[in-house]
Amino acid sequence: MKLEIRASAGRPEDSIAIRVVVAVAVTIAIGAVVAQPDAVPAPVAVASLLLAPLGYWFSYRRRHASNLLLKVALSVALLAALGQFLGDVRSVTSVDQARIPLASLFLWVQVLHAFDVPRRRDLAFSMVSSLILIAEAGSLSLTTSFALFLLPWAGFAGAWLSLSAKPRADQVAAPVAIRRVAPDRRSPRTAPIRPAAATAGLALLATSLVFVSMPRLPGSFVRTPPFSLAGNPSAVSGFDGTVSNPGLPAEAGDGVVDFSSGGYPGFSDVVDLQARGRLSDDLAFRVRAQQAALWRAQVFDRFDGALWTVTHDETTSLTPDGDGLSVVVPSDIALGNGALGGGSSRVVQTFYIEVPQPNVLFAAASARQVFFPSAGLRVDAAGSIRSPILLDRGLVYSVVSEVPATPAPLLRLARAQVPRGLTPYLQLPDDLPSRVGDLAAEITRGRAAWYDRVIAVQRWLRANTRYDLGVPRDPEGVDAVDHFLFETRRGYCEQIASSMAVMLRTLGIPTRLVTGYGPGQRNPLTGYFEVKQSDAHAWVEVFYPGIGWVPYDPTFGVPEAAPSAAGRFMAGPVFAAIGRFMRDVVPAPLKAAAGEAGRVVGATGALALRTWPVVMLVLMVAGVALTLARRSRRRSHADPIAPGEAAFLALVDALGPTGHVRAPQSTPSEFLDELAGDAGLDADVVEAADLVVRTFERERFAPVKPSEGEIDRARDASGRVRHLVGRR
Amino acid sequence: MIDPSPAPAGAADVADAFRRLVDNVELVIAGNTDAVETAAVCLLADGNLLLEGVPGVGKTTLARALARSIGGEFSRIQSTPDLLPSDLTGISVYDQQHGEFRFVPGPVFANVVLVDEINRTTPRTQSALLEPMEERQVTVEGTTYPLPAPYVVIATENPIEQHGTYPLPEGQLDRFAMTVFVGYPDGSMSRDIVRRQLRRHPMHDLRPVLSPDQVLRAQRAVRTVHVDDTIVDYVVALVTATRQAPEVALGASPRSTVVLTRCAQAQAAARGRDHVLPDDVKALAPSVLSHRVVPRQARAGAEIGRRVVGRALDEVPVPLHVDASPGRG
Amino acid sequence: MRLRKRAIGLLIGAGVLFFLGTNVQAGWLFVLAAMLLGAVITGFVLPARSTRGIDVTRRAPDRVHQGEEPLVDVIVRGGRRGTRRGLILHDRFLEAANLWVGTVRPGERVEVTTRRVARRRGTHAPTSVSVRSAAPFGVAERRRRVEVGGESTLVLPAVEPLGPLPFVQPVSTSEIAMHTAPRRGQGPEYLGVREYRPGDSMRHVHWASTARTGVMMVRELEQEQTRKLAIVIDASRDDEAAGEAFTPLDRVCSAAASIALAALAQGHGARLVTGSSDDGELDVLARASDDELLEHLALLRPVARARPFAAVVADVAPALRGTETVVLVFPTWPDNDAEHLAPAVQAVAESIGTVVAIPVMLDRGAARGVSSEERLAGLVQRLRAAGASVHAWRLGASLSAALGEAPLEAVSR
Repeated sequence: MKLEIRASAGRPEDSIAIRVVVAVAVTIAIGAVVAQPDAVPAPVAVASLLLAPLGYWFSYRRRHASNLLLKVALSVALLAALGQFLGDVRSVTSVDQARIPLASLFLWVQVLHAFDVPRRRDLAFSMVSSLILIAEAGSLSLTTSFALFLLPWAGFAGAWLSLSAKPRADQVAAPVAIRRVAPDRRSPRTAPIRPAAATAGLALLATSLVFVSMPRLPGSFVRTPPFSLAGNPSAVSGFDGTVSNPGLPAEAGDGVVDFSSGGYPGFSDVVDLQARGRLSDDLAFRVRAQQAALWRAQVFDRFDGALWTVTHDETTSLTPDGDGLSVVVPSDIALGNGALGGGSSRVVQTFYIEVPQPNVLFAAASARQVFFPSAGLRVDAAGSIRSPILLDRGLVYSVVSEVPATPAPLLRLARAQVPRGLTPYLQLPDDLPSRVGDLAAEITRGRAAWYDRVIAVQRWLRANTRYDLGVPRDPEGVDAVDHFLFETRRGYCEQIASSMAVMLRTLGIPTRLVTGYGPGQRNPLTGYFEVKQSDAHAWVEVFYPGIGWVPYDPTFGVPEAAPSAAGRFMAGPVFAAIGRFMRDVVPAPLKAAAGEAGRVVGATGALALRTWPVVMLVLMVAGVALTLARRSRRRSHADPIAPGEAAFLALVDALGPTGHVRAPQSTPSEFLDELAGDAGLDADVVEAADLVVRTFERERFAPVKPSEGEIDRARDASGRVRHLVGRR
Repeated sequence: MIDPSPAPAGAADVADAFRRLVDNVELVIAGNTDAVETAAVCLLADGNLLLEGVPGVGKTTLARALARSIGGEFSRIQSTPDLLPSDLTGISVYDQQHGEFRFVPGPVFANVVLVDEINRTTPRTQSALLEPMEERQVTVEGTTYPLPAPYVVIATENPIEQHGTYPLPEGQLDRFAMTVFVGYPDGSMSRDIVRRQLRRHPMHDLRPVLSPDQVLRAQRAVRTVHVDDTIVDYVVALVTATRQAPEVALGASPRSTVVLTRCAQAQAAARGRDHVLPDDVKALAPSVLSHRVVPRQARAGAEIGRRVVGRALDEVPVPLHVDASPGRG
Repeated sequence: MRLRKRAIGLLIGAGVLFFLGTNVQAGWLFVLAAMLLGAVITGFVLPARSTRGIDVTRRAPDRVHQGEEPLVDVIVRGGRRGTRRGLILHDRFLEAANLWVGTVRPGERVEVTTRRVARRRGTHAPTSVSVRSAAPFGVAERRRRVEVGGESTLVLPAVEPLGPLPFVQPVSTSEIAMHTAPRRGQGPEYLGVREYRPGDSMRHVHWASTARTGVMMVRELEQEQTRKLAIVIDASRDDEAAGEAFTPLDRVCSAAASIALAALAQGHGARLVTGSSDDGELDVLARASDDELLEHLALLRPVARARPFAAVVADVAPALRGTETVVLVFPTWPDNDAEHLAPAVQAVAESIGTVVAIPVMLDRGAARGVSSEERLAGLVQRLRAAGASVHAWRLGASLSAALGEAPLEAVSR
């Protein structure tokens, strides 16, 4: 944005193409920004979308004028926008809240700048600022649908790069004339598109390679993670710190609350191992975090053979931090629930709720600091945070957690001694069959350290039990864990996790059940973890003296707390995403067919190895057939060719290998003379060529056309030439 | 000897006439077969001929031999700087005896008019030839007198680099159907030429082999030679190409497309064919088009014209079929 | 391979986006950064293909005068497969020029015609051409040198058309015909016949035409060659002009060419003396056509250890017999001062009728110390006293203006 008064030096850019490209790119960028929810107020959005293209048109018309008055007016308007921004921003408490006025200001700058872009350099500034707008929109965007803006913008930006690479008129000599003589009248209409498509393809390939090899490092720039509400909150009536889950269905007849598509029974005060049902695959929420983790909600400590409950469910209220933006989990709770020593990773997570959730906050264990758009949070002794409002769609909150990252050797060194306060975590149901304990002892035979025992139990469960959502309800009166371990070996994650907890408790290792959500799938483009309703999950936490509570997941495994170097790259999530895409998008019959085809290919390959001569023959025939088909396809695109001319063209074609090429400016007779002058050619060839040329000339130029018989003779002659030449 | 065949001529007859004509002229001119044949083709195409070359190679002899071979009236004009237009066309003379003005025809009233060293006379006088060459008539003091048929003007010209010359204006050049460059004879024929002329110049013994009627009939037969559309496209493309060379101020005119086509017809007929081939066009294009190209640089000379036409022949593709799409340019 | 500014911009942008993306943890910013880097990589790789496999020829007139702007065609023929984009040709033939060719399809032929100013005299051989491409994105530019077919161009000295030369005996006016060649004077010849004008000599009446037309007609005669002219030029040294202007030797050659051609056009033969060897043998070009003369002057270069101009002048009189007018054309080098030149001019003036001196003024910087006008005034005075008429050719003036001035006291014997 120029604020100078004197007329700018330099030639104005006359090319309309560049202007159109820049105007469209800028409009797309503006559109991307205003399409993000709550980015800018609606009047600003509409105004900027309409004014930007108008500005480019206007500055094109006025590109030769000095526009002094215009520059003054634009400066005034810019100052007005700046004043507006400062006014809006005065009442803001965090950087995050300044986002909307900042975005509005930037849009105004862009739109005002669009009215004064006479030179190529100004258009370049416009493109750079459209890049900034797109980047801003990209940083706000949560979904893959941002690609709908990004790809067209990239196309126009590429077009701008191409167009502006052409030198300005004053950088090259002004020509007196430029003539282009096209070689072939049959140049296809798609000719201009092919090189552009090739360039775009190459650029896409290069981009993909770079993207896959970019490391994702943890950043530490942002001090205040975002948190906000969208619309009016749904308060929990009579909030006292308990979990309220409106999504749960009513009790089934036998007193069991089953799963509903939107309600996980694990988010309540009991976990009933009899609950059955399926959760939907709708997106529950998105998480922005630099690594995957299990999003923990609630902790249960008492098992009675069918239900898990919480013994001490008192909650304390969380007090705000010094700056009033966040609340801090009391350190005794935090430390008592996380890894005390042995290392942890600090993970900043931001949750964007899509589907209404119960009023328990999900966060990686263990949460230390919470940024929530409402006061009145309460936390229980196990670090499970409850809120006075339900987590509605559009709610955003952030949590800073310390995820335990103790390496295995350290865990092995933990003393095998249960601290006094943790005996509730050894509680077992009274009527637990002894074979459960026997099984646990057998699995962990020979292992002394708690770590090794835990790993052994987890491994055994992974190998010997199956995750199956189709299991029926347990029969009356049986212990759920015993029934699972010895009768069915199939079940929900609750059964599997419960089994691990119970078995470890029989070995004297303090363990507890945890519910929450699994890490979800990382969208490689947006970088967010997309957590579905069906990712609701249960796992266990094991206590190591001197270290703390460490999570284990016998169903799927816990994500690494300290991701290795390889985990920093997006290659994994990209391929996983592609795999998911193929699985979801490709319809089932096609997948089955692909599987069948794969089997057939394998069988054929084996067969081919045994009968390879036949295979070679088949391939040769296929090759010849393809070549002929391609040639005839080329021919059929053209206008119908007279037979004499066809014979002549075939003759020219046949003589290609001899080095005689018919130049476009030579006549058929001259071509024939050239052949006659070549001593290396057989007389037969020349004679046959003579016949073909003469016949063609008569067909083309003479008033009396040659007869059918003569044309046939010419065709034969042409074939003879091909045969004769091929023989040499 | 003249063969008085009254039947309408076909291509074969034209070829026959051509052969007789050329053989007859070659009795006098040796070692310049190309020039003789091209001159004969020009005659059959009913065009005016411009012979170029250094002095002494036989331009005047060629013209005279052609003239004598076809019988009819022949007149020779030697151009000098003091030649006036009326010296060419004729003047009205007051006949005292009868008390009236009588028109005395000038030397242009003949079947074959030879204008020797045409570029030694002033442009004013040269322009007196425009009307006879193009329209085959002469207008003197308001009255139009037709010229005999067949009618051909053959002019000889020394190269313009020589001294004391007036270059022909473009309008004049455009009236000449062809320019034939007469060069030095082949080495093998040089001895022959000297021998022949030592005793008695063969020109004295030359007899006509065609009557003016036969010439007329041959010319009419030439017009009936079949010209395919592709040939016309090719000719147009060639002429257009000469206009686009950057060293050209003015390319060949639209009139030249008709002339080139007609000459190609004559060439085809001379070879006994009843249809024109692109080879005929290519063979004659330099002769027909070179002198019509006006170069930008004034001192360029005939070289530029030949070069431009040569380049056009090298670059314009020979069409093998009629192009439905509009031609490139 | 040169990086353009935008490559740096794109790389910096990618870096910034990567940094922001890492800190804000927004995945799309990584995508954007990858796009910028992808554009840079593509822009690096593709130009190499564009500069390969093309064929360049050049067409230019074979003769051109210095200072003229002839048309030069550069023809680019595309290869057999693949479209080449963004081609710029840097051609240094005659004058450096950047030619925008743009896109060339396979087999397509593109002719670019530009005007180039012919700056240096002499033979310009067809030079190679630098083919550059930065397509598609203008990120990096690849250059490749391509040999060019074509003919040489000879740049002749600039010729200013002069009217009748003031130092040659004026001749009768005549109707000048449309000539493209000067006459060498082969004796009386008709130029043509025209109507009688009062004042024409009765000897010239053309009676035959008069009788034919009834109007009095007179004939025009070509003039005969009368005087013998020698032009002596100082080609002992030259000074490379900065950029645009002609060098002193260029101007000398231009003056000599203009005078010689004007003389030839008027029917005078001119001999050109360009220097001498140690034993007094002069380098003379005599009986040359105007083309030969121009070519000789075009190729003239200062010779190492050339004899000083004054010595050459002194040798003129005994060496050139039959000369009646001597024209001395020399730049005002410090060596060509009055002390050296005046005696030589005196010697020449004693035996040859008319001596004309044309000092060619140098750029102010070339003269040492004393201001040019002072030196010139001194030189003119001395040469006048020695018997020559002096026409000084100043910078920026035209030669005809210089010659048209009253020849400061023309002295002829």
